[in-house]
Amino acid sequence: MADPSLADPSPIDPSLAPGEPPAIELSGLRFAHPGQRVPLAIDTLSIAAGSRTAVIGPSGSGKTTLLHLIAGILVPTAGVVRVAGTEISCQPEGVRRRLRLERIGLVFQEFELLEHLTVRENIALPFVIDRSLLKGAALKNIALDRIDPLATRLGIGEYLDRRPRQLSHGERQRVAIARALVVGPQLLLADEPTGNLDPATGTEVLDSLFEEAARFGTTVVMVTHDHSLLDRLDRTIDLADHRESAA
Amino acid sequence: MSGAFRLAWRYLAYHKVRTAILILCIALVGALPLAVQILIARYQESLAARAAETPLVIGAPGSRFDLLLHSLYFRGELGRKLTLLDTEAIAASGLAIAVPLAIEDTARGFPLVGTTLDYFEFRGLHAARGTLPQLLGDAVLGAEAARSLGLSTGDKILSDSGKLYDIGSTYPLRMHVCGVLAPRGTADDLAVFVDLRTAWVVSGLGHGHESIGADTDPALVLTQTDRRVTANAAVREYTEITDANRASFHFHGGGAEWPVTAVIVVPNDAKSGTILKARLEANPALEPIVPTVVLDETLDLVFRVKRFFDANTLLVTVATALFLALIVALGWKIRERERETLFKIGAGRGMIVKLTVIELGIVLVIGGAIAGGAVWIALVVIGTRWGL
Repeated sequence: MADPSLADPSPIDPSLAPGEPPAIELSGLRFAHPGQRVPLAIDTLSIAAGSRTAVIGPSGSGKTTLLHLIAGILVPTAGVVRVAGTEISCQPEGVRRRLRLERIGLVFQEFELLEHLTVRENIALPFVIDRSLLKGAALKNIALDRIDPLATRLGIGEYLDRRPRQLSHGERQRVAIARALVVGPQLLLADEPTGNLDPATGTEVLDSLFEEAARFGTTVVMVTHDHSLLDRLDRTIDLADHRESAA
Repeated sequence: MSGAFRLAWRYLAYHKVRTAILILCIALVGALPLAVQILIARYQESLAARAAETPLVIGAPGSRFDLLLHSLYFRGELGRKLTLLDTEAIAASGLAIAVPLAIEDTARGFPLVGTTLDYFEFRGLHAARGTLPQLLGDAVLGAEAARSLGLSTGDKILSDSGKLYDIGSTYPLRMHVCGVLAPRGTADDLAVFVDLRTAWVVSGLGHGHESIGADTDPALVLTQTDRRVTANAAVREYTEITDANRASFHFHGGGAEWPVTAVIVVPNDAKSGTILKARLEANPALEPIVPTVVLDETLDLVFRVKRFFDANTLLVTVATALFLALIVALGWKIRERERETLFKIGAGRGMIVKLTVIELGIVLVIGGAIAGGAVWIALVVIGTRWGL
């Protein structure tokens, strides 16, 4: 049987032109991992385009799961997930993968950089995974026009030919942010991006993240345990009591 | 370059040592059994081909296997020998050509084969450079022997002294290289050929020395009568046959004393062969063998052992393949997080599998290429050295 991920992806809603602010809409969402007694349950949730939203909650409350559901990595057992007006929860994996690649950037707590690639190659990874993102341009030109300036703005311009292992944690997270933003995504999902950084470095990294996200007009949804960061975000979603509060 | 190939290549290039070890393992596992199998097959073919073109061999009674190895591949010594008279008797029958071989010594490590010009005609050997041995003291070298020793026409080659601590033994003979044979890929490439009489000189059956007569310097004479002059040890014995002293070389005794280690018999036709074989078999002083028959018996024994070797090779290969599968499985497990990252970023499951397959493919292809190269080198080097 053919792997659906290898098939040509169905076109994503053409009304969503790149750069248009995305919106996230969840309704009747239910998801439970195998063996999980209390499923993640969100009746309705809407995140405005261009906003910065924090997702908090105790361990096991489903923060990362929520990000994965929004990114289309997981499929809800019930309910609907819409990203930029496109219902992704009912799409086949190939379409969700494509949507993720083109419109959603992901930043992880553990950076998740590939050690065998240089910083430049790590940032260029989405283009290597799917060359159609290059839109006919040469990877070398993309590096010159997009990757190098982005890296310079993020303060890692001098390290483009180094390996991730040769960088500090803060620098590695900047590389991960660059990789997430290099395609100009409409949505950036960050899973505790400062969780492995000291407070000062965390603040700097977050500054860079917000600055670059603003440049691309990207909506940011960030899972965090650090409540001191909440006042820098527009909105907080607490999965512990499903209480929402405005900053 | 596709994305998956680029990523696979970068991974392998980054983990150079790990990749190199894996490639070497694959190369070794592939090369060793392959080289051994090919070499054995070639060796078998080579043995069989030489045996097939040699219709009949006569030797003194003894081991048939030893006679086969001695007469066809110039290996080993035979305890008992024939004489030149036996060769002449076969030739006199008019039923076959008898090609005598006297192989008792070596020259710089290569077998020194004393024979007649009939041998070269029978084997289809011709000199690529120079001529075949025409004079006493001439030697023609097999192609590989010449290459290995760095000798060519006009050079000299010394016979080996087989009895280093025997002060009564003959001195090594310095022979003139009159030619080099064209390569044939047989045992002939690894031999030094001389005339029968030259081989006997090397064995000490013939010699040349200063002439002794009535007018000889008294200092060289031990005893002298009217009829006989006996020289003492001061007489100079020649260790090289030259135009000037060639006439002084002579052999004591007669054909009944001049040894021949084996005789290759080439019957005129099948009928002559049958008659001759029946006559020879009736002679208890002779041991006729049909090389293909003796070789088949030998190979049957050898290849019975080879079957155990094949089974061992198969088991080792299976064990190594399982080890490699384990390494791949462990690698797959260890890199689970990397695969998850690729998937989360937007890589398809198919691409991730493709990435692993390409990595494995690159390692297998390079390992296979190295194995192929190693086998080729082994075949060239060993094949040349062994005449395969």
